[in-house]
Amino acid sequence: MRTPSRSTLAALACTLLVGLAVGCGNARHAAGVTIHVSDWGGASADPNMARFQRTIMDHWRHLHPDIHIRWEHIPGSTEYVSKMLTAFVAGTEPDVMSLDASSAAVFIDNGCLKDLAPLARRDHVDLGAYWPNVLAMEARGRRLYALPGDFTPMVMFYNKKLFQRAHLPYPQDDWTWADFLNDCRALTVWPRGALHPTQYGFLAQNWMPAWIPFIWQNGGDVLSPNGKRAEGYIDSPATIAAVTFYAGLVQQHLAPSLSQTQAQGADPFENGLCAMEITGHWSLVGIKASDTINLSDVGVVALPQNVRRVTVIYESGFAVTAHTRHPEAAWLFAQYMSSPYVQIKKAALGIGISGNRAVAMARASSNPLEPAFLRAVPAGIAPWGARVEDYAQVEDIGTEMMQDVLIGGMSPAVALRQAAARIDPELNS
Amino acid sequence: MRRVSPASAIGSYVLMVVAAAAAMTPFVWMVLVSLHPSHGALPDPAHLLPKHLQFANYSQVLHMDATPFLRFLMNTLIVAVSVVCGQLLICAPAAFAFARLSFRGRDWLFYLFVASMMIPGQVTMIPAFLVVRSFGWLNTYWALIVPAISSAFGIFLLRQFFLTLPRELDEAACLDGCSPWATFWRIAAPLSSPALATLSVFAFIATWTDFFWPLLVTSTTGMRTLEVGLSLFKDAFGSTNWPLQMAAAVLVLLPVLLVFLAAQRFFVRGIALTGLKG
Repeated sequence: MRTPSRSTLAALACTLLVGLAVGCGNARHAAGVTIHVSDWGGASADPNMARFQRTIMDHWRHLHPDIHIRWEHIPGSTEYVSKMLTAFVAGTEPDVMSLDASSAAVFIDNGCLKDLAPLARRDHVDLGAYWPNVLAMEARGRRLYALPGDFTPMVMFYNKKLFQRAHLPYPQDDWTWADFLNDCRALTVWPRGALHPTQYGFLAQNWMPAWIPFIWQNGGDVLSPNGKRAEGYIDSPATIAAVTFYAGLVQQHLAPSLSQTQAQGADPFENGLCAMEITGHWSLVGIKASDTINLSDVGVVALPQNVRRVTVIYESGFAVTAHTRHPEAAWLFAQYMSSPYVQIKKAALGIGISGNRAVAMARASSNPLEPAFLRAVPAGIAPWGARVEDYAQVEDIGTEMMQDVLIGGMSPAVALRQAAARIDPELNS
Repeated sequence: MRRVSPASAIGSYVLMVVAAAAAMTPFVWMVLVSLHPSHGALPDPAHLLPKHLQFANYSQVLHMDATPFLRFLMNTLIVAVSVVCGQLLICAPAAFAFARLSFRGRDWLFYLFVASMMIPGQVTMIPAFLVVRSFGWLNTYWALIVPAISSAFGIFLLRQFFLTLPRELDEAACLDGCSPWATFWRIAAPLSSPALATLSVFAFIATWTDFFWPLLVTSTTGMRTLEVGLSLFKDAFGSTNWPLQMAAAVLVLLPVLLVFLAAQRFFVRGIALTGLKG
């Protein structure tokens, strides 16, 4: 019988100890203050983004050589929230964090963030320079928890070539659900004998930011105004009618089914399979890099309206954490990220619209697609996630509800009633 | 002995080949997409076979400045190998003690270990994070290795195996003057290679594929592991470059596959002997 030698045991132990020893120890900081900054989105392979980050950090070092920045990029929006919450529990939170409107309430309502309003007053920061409805997303009354970075309203992208081919005029900002439905019908191409249309009017996604504006436009909502109840709202007649309208686009084959979209693998709007899609400013980056669609063939228009004109705005800003050990340095950095210098450079990347009105207007004057986004801003409201701490669960249930309707064939009224019954215990737990 | 008819043998082979092909399809698809030209959309099944094999995708993934894959690979190897070694060194003697030594409260202690397997990881994550932070281990290999170094599952698995070894071996060793440690080290451990290999593969795969814990305890790109790196990579490319994403996914998966193939013989035997097959 072969016995393991002492050297085998020693090798095992050595491997373990080497593993433990390599790289242990805390990072050492140079002289001065080091502030820890977290944002979500991870690294970027985009050379423009890398250049942007290098440029602003070089500029920051020039302005504040004694304040060093340790920047942590955290992949994935859900993981970002989880990691930040854990860090707050453990007291290892960053000094400055990127605050996304879709999850802002979790951090604001739990006292994780510093009220920046007194600092803004003290340093005469001109809060009037920002879009008021964007600034309001990170505020609670007179308290302000972040300075705006960039944002986007959800708008309709359309493929100009497909509109021209169908001899349709381009949609205008005052278009209605009826106009939208007519355009979807005219843009859907279903050759005789084919199993499916070869072209669809619209790309229907089971992504709540894409379909919640339909509910709002119809006068409905998913939660009560105080965000504490779903029953009576998500299952209201107005909401049911909106979901029925949205699901009808798939059921009438004016939009591909969810499985057809999944099977595409690529964006069906970019591929030319769908003539319209609801999305945000960030999509311009992908379209610019796309081999299948030219940016000049893309048009942008406000969402079609029904009983009211409304859309949702997604925004991200920079917040200072409540218990930072370097509040002044953190505040300086949050101001810097929100400053025209950084905002002009960030806006040039095309990811979002600057929260600073002057910067956004200046960019709109030289870029043909920007004005359509800006025209949609006044009708933009904050996502529920900016106001309700547990909204992530509501979104999960909402997504399952729409899946039951679009894939399972469940009636919207039944699916929404079930969703209400599931959401209320979550909100009141 | 009952003879298997040729028809039934052929039938079972056909069934197994079909099942194996179905299981392999996602992996084959992933490899084929990874060899398509960069920046391409997902190919439809009719054009899955690339016209020209783009092995350059792999080299591109390995040499990205924003996502240093070789660094992620080194970190993951250090962590995975350390955890495997740690689990072997800690779980095997503990399991032997539970299987062979008589001491007061042994069974209750063992049940406590087994019960701890039922506590979801999410429940222990924050306390573990607080402990790691209090030691000043955040963003170090210590945080990635130490919490995983012992495993109730590993102790359970090895104990079940040690129970199958004949007691006569212990008694003979005792008559020859072996201490319990010597009995473990000279008799039980050498006979346990299938179970030890099984535990190694389980520990290696669990560590290799762990995402959230490394995300929580590391904060710099240089300390990230492959799974977190893959997520960073996905964020960097969005859905615009499937061939590169698939190349990255293949690179992450390959070492696990190699470990499994190398230990497959022991792994299957270990599962059969420890009663894990159910």
